[in-house]
Amino acid sequence: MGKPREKEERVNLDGMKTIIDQLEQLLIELKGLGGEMPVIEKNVKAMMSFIHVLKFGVSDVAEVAKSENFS
Amino acid sequence: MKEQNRKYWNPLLEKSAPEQLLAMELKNFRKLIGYAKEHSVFYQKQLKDVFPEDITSLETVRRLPLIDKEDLRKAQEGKSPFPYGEMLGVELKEVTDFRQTSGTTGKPVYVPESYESWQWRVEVWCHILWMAGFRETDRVFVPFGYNVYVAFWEGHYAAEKLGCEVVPGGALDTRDRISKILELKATALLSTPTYGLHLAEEAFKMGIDPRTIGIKRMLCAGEPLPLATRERLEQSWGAEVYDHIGGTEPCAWAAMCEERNGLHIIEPFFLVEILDMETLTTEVGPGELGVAVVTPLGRRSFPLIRFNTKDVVRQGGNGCPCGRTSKKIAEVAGRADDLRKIRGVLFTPVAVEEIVRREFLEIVEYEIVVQREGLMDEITLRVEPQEEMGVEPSKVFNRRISERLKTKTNLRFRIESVLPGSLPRYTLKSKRFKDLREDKADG
Repeated sequence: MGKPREKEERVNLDGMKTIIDQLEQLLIELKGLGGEMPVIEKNVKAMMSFIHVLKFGVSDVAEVAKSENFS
Repeated sequence: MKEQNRKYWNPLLEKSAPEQLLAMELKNFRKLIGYAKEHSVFYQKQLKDVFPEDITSLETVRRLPLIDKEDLRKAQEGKSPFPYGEMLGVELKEVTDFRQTSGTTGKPVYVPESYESWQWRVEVWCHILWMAGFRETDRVFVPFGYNVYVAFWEGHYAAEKLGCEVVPGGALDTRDRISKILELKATALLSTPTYGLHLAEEAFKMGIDPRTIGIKRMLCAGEPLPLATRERLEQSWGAEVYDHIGGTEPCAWAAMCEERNGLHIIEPFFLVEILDMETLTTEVGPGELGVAVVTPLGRRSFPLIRFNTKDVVRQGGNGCPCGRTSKKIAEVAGRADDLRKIRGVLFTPVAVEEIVRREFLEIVEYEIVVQREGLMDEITLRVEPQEEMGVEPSKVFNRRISERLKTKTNLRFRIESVLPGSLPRYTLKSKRFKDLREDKADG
């Protein structure tokens, strides 16, 4: 059985979650700067798909670990 | 610490406490309900009176309706937007990949993937391949033209994402594929169990012992893989053979780790319920058989909520020597679609495969045919023996098979030998079970 995450590990998780959020924000900004240029629009879209995957695999863990029940 | 982390594709998830996994699943289940109601015409109707905040536990999940393949067909046929109909969860212009089910049980279901949803599926497959020991150093041969069927596409893209070198082996005949595997010194295979056996059989005919080819691991897809078949593949190839379970609609949702003892549910990507077969309302306990109901939690182009896969599996509890904490499936027992009542006895073809592959290595290929003769159901096993056995294996041989099948299934089989090479060889899904009765008396 796994145990709720150690504090030290949670710090890393929080750090990773912050960077994932920042990346998402940066990509939104990049899309805005690119106007409707396909090269920006399509590549940002592809990268956003990986952000979706990372949120699922990392940010969610950080959120749940932080929630009251597991702290 | 770093080395330990390399053992798992995502140790953050794979070593999470079960209650944390459940918390993530319920959180994403709520999100999915909100999303599906907003974007899918089907769910706008079906979940009209359900709200995300209603979902607080597995018990509350269980109050929601199940859907199955027939519901998906109805939501597609004649409904717009063509061809996906009311299940579609994104704008049609967002769809980047067309997939469809094999149509084994009726009209195929069309499955749309947006780029995002596709990457989510690929990520699930990264978990599967990594658990099966696929690494950057592997050269992976995929001996198929993938067509519109999803599993080998997923395997291809996931192997690429892992950093493996992927060799697509479509548009070659079996002997050319064996030559290519040898020429390139491939180390891993993605294959259906049937075709894996066929490749080994053909290699032997070419005078090549498949164990000398250098394949170290094989991940099977597309068909059930009973233990006896897996062991036969492992002996034939001298390789580790891994199984997984899934489908085109929900994606692959459980797979084997290096222990090769049961399958880990890929949590928290899926919320999987294993429900009693009669009522489909209560979860079965460890060791019991049930039907798998699967909700993929991060795929928005084709939102599925409580999809009845009709896969019959044995619940395996939590915990594994590999250190992963997800729930396990002890065994894939077959498909509810394949369960039949024959002379009042509940029968699944997997039982026959177990016997044939484990105890009768002389049988190269087989087929099960059920017919009604007068008022009686007759079940025949047509066997194709190795060429060395001649056209007509001995009566003793046939009696031995019949007796073993009777013990295992409680049914008396008629055994019929056929000429070597006369039964079909399958590449993708095999169709070895033929129920020719008009009234199939499903179990």
